[in-house]
Amino acid sequence: MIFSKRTVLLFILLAVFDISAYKIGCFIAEISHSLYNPLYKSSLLYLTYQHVYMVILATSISSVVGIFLGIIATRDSLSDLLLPVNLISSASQSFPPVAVIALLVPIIGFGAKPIMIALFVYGLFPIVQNTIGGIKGIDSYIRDASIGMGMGWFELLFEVEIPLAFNKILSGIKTSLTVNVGVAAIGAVVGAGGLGAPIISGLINENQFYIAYGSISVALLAVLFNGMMDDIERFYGLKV
Amino acid sequence: MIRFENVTKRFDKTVAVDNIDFEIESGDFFVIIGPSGSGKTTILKMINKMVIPSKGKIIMGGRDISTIRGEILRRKIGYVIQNIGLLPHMSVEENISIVPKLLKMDKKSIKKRVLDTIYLVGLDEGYLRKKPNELSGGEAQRVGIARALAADPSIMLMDEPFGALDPITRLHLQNEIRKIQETLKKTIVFVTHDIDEAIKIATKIAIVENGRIVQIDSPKRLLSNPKDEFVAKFLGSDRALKKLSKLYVGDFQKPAEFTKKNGAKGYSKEIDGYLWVVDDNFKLLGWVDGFSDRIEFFTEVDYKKFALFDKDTLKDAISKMIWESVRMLPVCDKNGKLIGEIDLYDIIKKT
Repeated sequence: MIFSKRTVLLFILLAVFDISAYKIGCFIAEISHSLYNPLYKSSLLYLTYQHVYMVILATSISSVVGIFLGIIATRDSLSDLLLPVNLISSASQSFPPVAVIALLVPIIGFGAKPIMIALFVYGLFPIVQNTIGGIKGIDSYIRDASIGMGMGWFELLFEVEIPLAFNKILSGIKTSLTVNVGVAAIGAVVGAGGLGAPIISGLINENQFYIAYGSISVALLAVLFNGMMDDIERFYGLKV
Repeated sequence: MIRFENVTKRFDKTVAVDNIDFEIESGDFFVIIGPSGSGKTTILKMINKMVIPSKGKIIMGGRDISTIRGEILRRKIGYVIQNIGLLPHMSVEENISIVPKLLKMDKKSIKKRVLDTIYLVGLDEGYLRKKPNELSGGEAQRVGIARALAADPSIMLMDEPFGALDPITRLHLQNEIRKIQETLKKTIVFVTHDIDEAIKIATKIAIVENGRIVQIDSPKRLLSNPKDEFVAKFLGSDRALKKLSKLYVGDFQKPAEFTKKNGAKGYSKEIDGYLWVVDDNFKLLGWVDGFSDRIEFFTEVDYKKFALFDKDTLKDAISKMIWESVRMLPVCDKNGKLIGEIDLYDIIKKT
């Protein structure tokens, strides 16, 4: 089994929290004589699903594009591309997602699209950097021996470079995924839904319960994703 | 056969290889030696198109290699480097199978080649499942050699393959690669900066300085006739001693005088100098000299320790003479039968 006990436990904890958050809220409201209403309008499970959907889809696209850019930039024949690719990916990281959303909403409107583009852009940098670093970090004599045995670019890439850089690429994806779980909460500002919705709603209505529902779920989700990626790394990383 | 025709290689403005023109014959153990930065690795890498000459042609088996695609050429040439370059994510078996797989050999013949080569380099099936990081330096380089031999190439390129190994492992591998070359009749082009290694394994040595080939000769001829000061200096001030390691006792021995233990010559007083004493089957038992009273009181020796064998080198002979404090030693065959003797004077005079 790929996933460790810790990860499974975290998953159960998140599910239990999402299901029973309202009841916990009621209980706390009763003992503290709170004036706030612990009842939130939509199901936390559904919001978590929305959140996960946005994060995973955006990070998957980041991964595909990022790994592709990283591979392109490390080809000997395309070495001129290394600098521009590095620049683009660093620039994408230095753009605050909030600014990206602000720029995109007038063009493509409200909803999930602007936050997903922001997540895609924000998640690109670690993946590109780790792909480049992973491939460039392979000892030169391993490449030398592989080429000397008669490997073409295809065999070199798929049988040597990607397998040996795989761990580093995975850890890039892990960074993107974990960071994006937090960043995606901003999406609620432009009506993307997800776990940011109760947080924003709580801030506007000054309802501590809503803020707690959203932020605890986001935190649990981030730790869960991180743990899952750790497990995947451990599972596939055994080879090297 | 590999022929370099006026080959020059420039990197930017520096000239790494300067207009070299020579030939490597099939079946040669061809060692390229020179100081670091002399261009020896560049010469080697031009043979499998890892480096493309700036000028000139390289002909292999009658064909200009610039007309052959690099990958196709390299799959037919074994390649071994100092850092070995085993792929760390693959098992020993997968590593050895790389070139046969590139050549699209079928699974059964790949398996057979893997088994053949792993035994050839002195390892066994137990190693096939291991990962490179579970191997010692010597074992890893054996696997490196097996990998280069896997597709049965007629030419092998070796770039300082034993440079990173400890002296004992290096000695073993030198002997084995020599044996492999002799039995499989491969053409091996071998780069090193260790002159003793070159003299030991080469059939031809090319000495390189500043991208030029200074001299190409057999080790024996090179040691006797260094072409210039540079070559002489490179061979070392002890080149006379090195030469002794390429000469064999069998070529310098002369017939020995001996007497049988129960032999005709009765009294040893009649002996001038000394005589080897043998039994009825001519097996060496010892020696007598004029100081012994009777032949029966000869000095006994163990032929295994005292005698030389015709496959021994003159270096072994001198070493044994110094060790035993004598200037004459008997030469025996492997059963101890006396076949001759060797004199220090002859070694000094005739070499």
